[in-house]
Amino acid sequence: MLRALYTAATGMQAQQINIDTIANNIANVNTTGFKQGRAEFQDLLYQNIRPAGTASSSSTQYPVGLQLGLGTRPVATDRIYKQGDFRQTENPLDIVIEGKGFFQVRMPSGELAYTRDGSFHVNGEGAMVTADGNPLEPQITIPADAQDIVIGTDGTVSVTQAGQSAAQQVGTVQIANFQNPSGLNGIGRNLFLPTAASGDANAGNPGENGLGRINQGFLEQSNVNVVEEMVNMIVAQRAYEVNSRAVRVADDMLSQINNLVR
Amino acid sequence: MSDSFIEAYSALDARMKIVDVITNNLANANTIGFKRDFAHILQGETEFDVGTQMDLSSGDLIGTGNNLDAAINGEGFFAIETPSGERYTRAGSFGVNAAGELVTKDSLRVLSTSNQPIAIGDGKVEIRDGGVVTVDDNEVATLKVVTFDDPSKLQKEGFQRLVWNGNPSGIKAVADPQVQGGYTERSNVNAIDEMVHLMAAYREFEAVQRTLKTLVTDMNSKLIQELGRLT
Repeated sequence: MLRALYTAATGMQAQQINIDTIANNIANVNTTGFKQGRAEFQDLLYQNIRPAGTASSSSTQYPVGLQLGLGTRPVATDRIYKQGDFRQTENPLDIVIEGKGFFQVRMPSGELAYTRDGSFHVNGEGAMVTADGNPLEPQITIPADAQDIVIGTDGTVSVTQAGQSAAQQVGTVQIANFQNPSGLNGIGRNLFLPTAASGDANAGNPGENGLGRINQGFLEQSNVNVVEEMVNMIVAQRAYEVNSRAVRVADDMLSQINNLVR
Repeated sequence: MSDSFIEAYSALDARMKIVDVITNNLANANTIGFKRDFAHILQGETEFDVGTQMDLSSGDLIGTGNNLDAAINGEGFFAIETPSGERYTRAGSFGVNAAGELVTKDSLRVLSTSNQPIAIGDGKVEIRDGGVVTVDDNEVATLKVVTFDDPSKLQKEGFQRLVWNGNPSGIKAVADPQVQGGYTERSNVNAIDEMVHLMAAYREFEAVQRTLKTLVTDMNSKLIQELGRLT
């Protein structure tokens, strides 16, 4: 009987993780470049009490076996890299990747991190940086007297300086892709780090080798769909309820057994 | 002990096993591709026993928009490679490993019709009708989808995997598998049904428990009477 108690408990724990994931998705419904998370579950081992075909007498066999499952466990929190909607901002330093790839930014530790959040700014030295101040890699410096900044679909950044009529190229925004983006390690602040599962970054110019293209003046919105999350939340909550009901039934049965002998 | 005791005890034990099976179904109400187990009571001469059978009916397909998700609409199972041999699953939420191969969420490689792992690299992957896997619109492989002559010989191994205990000749390829990319198959557990089964098993348990209690009380009073007569 204790089996049912523990099995139901695994179900409740799984639904808690499900709700945690959904809550994080909903909390990030307005986070630029956020990718929806999805908790996935697996059944646990089965106890084979009696395999099918076991002899029930010298001449007959049980037509069906007896397998008792031991519950469920979370197996992965997958990230769904579906493109988010584009929102026009008219800000020349807001850029989106249309397709695959991540912007590369240099963290204070010197490590490279990857992000889909393309809302860039210029810091005191004129370098293009994220909202957290991490510079884009390779670094791009915008001259202080730049009048007009144009970022092409291939990532080339050109500026027109005061008193000049011709635009001048100051750098190229490079992006990187991974064999398995779902294997990236999310470290918060819209940043990801590569892992053994994601494979190494393949950096390149936008639009080449299957990398996405750059669009200027837009931001990629979170790809979380609130309606979908609400439905998922209801499903998770009900699943939690039925599992807790199963705990109660198992508990009642145990107490009845206890009451057999007074 | 009398037969009625053994009978009541085994009836009680059978209900507990049924509750175990139902609880496992409920715990897996959100497990992709999960197939519920159906427990039923087998009545012997003096004892009750329980048998479990997998309910292989389809779960609902839900669109996820994730191109590495695939669901089979109808019969068949995806074949995957494990260190202990080929296994089968309905859980088509795949991923890619660092080598660029199509894998399950346990990083077990998914097999193609030619029994090979499917290399997809980092291009744009799509899983099309019939299980055809394309990368940047080029066909690279077809997912191996098989069915079995006697599903009762399929055994759950846990972790969404099934193992085939029959003859290798009992495995047949599905000619035109209805594989749908961008969908996953929900667990076929229906919480309402399971709750009804749970309540039924619980009430039966209660009834048997009362019988057993009566038996115990009767026996005790009888014992006291007999002992009283002896002294």
